[in-house]
Amino acid sequence: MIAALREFRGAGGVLGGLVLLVIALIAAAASWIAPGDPLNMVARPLTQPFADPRYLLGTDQLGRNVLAGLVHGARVSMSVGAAAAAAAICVGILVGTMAGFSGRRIDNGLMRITEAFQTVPTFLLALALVSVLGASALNVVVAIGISSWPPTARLVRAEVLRLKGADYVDAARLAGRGSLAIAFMEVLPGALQPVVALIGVTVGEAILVESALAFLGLSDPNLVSWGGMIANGRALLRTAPYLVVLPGLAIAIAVLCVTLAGDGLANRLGIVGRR
Amino acid sequence: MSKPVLQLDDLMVRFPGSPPAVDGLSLGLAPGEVLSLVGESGSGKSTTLHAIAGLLPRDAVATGDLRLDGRPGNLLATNADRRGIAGREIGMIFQNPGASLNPVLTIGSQLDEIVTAHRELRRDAARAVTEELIDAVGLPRMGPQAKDWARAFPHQLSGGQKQRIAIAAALVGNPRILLADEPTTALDATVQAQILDLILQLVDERGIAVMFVTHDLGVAAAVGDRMIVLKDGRLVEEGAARTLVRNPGAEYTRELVSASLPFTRDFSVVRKRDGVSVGAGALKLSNVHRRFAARGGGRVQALGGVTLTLSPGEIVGLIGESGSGKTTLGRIAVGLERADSGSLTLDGRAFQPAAERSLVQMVFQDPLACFNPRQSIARALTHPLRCLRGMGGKSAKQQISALMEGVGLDPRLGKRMPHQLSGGQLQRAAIARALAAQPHFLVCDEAVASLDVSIRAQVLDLLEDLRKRQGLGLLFISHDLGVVQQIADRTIVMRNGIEVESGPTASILSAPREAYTQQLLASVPSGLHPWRESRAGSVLA
Amino acid sequence: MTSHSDSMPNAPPSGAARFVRFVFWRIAQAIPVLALVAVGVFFLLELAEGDAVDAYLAGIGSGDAGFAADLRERYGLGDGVGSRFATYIMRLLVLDFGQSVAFSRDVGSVIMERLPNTLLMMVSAIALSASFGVVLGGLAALRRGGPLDAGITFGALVLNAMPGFWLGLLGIILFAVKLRWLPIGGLSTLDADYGPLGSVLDVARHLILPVTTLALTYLALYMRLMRGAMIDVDNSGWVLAARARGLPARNVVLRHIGRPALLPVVTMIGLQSGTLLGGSIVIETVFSIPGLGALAYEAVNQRDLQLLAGILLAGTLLVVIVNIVVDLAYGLLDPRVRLGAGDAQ
Repeated sequence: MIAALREFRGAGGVLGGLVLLVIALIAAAASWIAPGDPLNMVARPLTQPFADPRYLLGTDQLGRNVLAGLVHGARVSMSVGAAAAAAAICVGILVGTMAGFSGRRIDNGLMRITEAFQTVPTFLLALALVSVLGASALNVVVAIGISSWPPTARLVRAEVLRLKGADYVDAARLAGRGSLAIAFMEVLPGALQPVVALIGVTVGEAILVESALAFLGLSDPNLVSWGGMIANGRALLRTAPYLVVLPGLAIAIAVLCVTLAGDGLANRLGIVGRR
Repeated sequence: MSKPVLQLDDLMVRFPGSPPAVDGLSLGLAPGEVLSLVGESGSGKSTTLHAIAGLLPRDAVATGDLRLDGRPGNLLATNADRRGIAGREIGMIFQNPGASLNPVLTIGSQLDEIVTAHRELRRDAARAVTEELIDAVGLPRMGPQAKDWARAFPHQLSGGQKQRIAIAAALVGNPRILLADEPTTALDATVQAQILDLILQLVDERGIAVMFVTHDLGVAAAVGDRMIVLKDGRLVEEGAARTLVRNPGAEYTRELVSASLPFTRDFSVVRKRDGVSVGAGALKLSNVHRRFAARGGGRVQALGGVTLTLSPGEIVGLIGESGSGKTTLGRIAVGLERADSGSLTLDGRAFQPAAERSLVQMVFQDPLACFNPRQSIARALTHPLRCLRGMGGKSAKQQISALMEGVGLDPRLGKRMPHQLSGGQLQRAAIARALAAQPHFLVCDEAVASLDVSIRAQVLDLLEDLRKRQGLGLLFISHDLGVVQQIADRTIVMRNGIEVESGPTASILSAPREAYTQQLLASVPSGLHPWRESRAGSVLA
Repeated sequence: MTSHSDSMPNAPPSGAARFVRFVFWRIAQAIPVLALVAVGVFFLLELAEGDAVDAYLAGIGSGDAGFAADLRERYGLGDGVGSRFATYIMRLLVLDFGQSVAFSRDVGSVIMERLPNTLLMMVSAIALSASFGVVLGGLAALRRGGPLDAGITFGALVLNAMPGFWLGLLGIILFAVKLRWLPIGGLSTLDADYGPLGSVLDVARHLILPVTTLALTYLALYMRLMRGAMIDVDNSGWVLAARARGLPARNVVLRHIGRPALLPVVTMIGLQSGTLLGGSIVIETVFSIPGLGALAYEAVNQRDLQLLAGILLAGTLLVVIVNIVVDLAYGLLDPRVRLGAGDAQ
């Protein structure tokens, strides 16, 4: 039974990775799959899904093609999510490494800053940053990156501190290795390994934050995004619930696949992630 | 033999994906007898206890026939009725006393719970029984060292005190059988002696039969009436404990006996060594002090002024229990730790180990932990060659092969990652890495403590050989008197950061002057005499 | 003949004294964090184009230059960054969060007005998600490898992947639009008088959907955490020992596995309180609940930066307080941190 479950997890990772790949391909080929600006009116408003084969998933109140919106939205959601997570992880690694290797004073200072960032409600900070910086895709990436690096930083710092005291680091010191070699060749590779387990969760989280910002109208007005589509459909909950249901489903599937693929990757590398 | 209280026939235990952990083991346990199960790691001794207690993990498959006197049915059958067995028929104590108590509940509340489970008592009445039990295991409520033990949490107790509580917990239900799974392995020698005293006293008073599992032949033979030797899940030999040690029948038992020295208890027989020249160029640590920041503020003294001289070609044993400061001293000698005050000299000149790494090297306790899990053995060996001797490329490669051969390792193993080697192989590789620097001195910090006895003997032989061939000076840190007896020319006994006494190993072990050394010696079980006899004859008793 | 070289630690000070000391120590620890957040918020305001007075004047639609100069004087906005910073800090120290443009009122009073609604939602959502998470995660751990575990684990994954606002909208579509069981939004029925008890029930009815949504989005986290913690503890020596000692299965599960496994869950409640507060922004907006979150949304929409800054600071303070409370609770559950304030970190 346990073996079956493990197999399932492995299969989940592979399946998640495959679907993720498909979503990424769709996002990359968006202008080829659904040519033209998805914000243009193309058909009669509020065509129900499956009613017209040309607009398979129907149209919204302004006659925009929902399927085209989803396809183009994938591009925004996935790239913003991935970029923001990458930014968060990079900042986290940098801060965590510095704190772990520095003396007590710098470590303390960096940890207070990390704590401060962790204490401010994450989404509130992202919201404030976007509203001050202006709603562009780049600013959304910056805002999410700034508000979600602390977990990575804490993890990396803890690992660095743990490995700094390991016997094999003492052994390397006795073998005459310099402190830079010890930091970069002996400690860091081990300390960064558990970060892999955080990648899936961080990207998924970033996609969710991006969609929530877009839902509140804080996204680039010239780009379609899944969260924005939901906000748009909100006014027609009674007559056209599909305008809300479909983009939400897209978000959920994307985040699920990212998490599964991340889990699968961590399992593959033998990192037991529990976060 | 009278009717056995427990009869086990043809026990087989399998874990998925590995050969049987226990393979066709049969044994009987007579009422009131102490049966020792001895074996190296992987011999299946603990697994046997877990199978009897019904504590095997879910994915393990156990077959065979287990019967308790006066109870119907085979307890290993798939739908066996095990009600009323755990705690009432069979009590159990474990290796790690800290881990066997729930950290978030008080001692009293945990014992109360067991008392209410096994005796028809209400919670408030249970406390009286609990207090009685705590007193019975040697933790008095009255007297100079009295505490309100019941209200204490496990982390407020020492290892020995926790094991006493665990023994009390095992005895609540008045079991007929006590399973003891390496109950003293994690304890210091003097504490181990006290716990062995307690176990034997209690089972004697109550007529409990004991199965005592240990890897330590000395302990097994001293406490056991009978003894069973296990290897790879099979019974090797069975017999009266002391007879088996004096006249081992099986080849494996003989090996085990010759590898576990201390049971001879004849400390005057220190092996004669030839060709050891104690010359000039000694490493000297003088009046070394070291304090550490203590948890919860304040500072704790690790070393309070220790002086030590180590000459090339000499092996000095450093003996002490946990907290004696022996490891700190070793780390100062190799420059991994600094001294607060005191001086280090080499051949009369001031010496900074951190600046001259190649002169003093170290072999660590846990061979797996001292290799980077992401680097092959050969790569680990290149570091000292490159960094300390400036070697590279082909010459380094040749040197690695030579070093590995020198410690008895096949050079082809160099390609392997650390986890792909056995403990003994890894410790040889660790010695090779230390030798790569061409040191004059080697600090061995419990270097054989985590190895099985047969492997331990090989590694000790290797170190002895290196001293002879290369004139290395060895500082051999250990908690194990037997190991020090086997290898050290001189021995220093440490306690609480200061030296208790020092001198030639033979005289320290045969004629100790200090009370603490005497106590330490009396704590080591001799496999040739029953435990209580040797305790009664010991200096301190 | 037994000797105990190490005795137990000295008797700690009385319970009440330790409690007070711990609270003071914990508050002292929070001060640098709060100070850093205050500095961060100042720079955030500095980043914005135009100053608060511009925004304020635009907001009230008046262009009197004299009035503007007056305001700038009052808030030290005419001076350099250094003196602006000094004024800002001085104001914070007397709890003056400035004027809200959108409400033409003191920011502090606007926040205080909305705070109770958010607190009510937060506390109910935390209680709901943590308790259900503990039960479901615990069940999954006890039946691990079985179909129930697979179901709960997969459910957690799916729940974790769904955006909270979407879950809320789905709830509205199903329970408010289609089934008409629950109100579509708001905190109470307008123009209705149900009497005191009726009003409470009315508010509760309005809170069912938003609180459930908020709780559902954090349920998965607690489920996975509890499951992992239970499995960890199950492998510990004291559980094996408890079984060997013949304790009833109920005791083993509740006292020896469940209770220690609660510790990481409690820690997580503190760590997650910030995220939960953030999550309530969207949920309050979806359900039109006049709380702190919806207020933040209004502040962003109206570009009322003073108000937004005030909410950031108030939110942080709230998280700090929740964390202190959680730490105190943790101390009750784990004796190892109870001993001295200094060890708790």
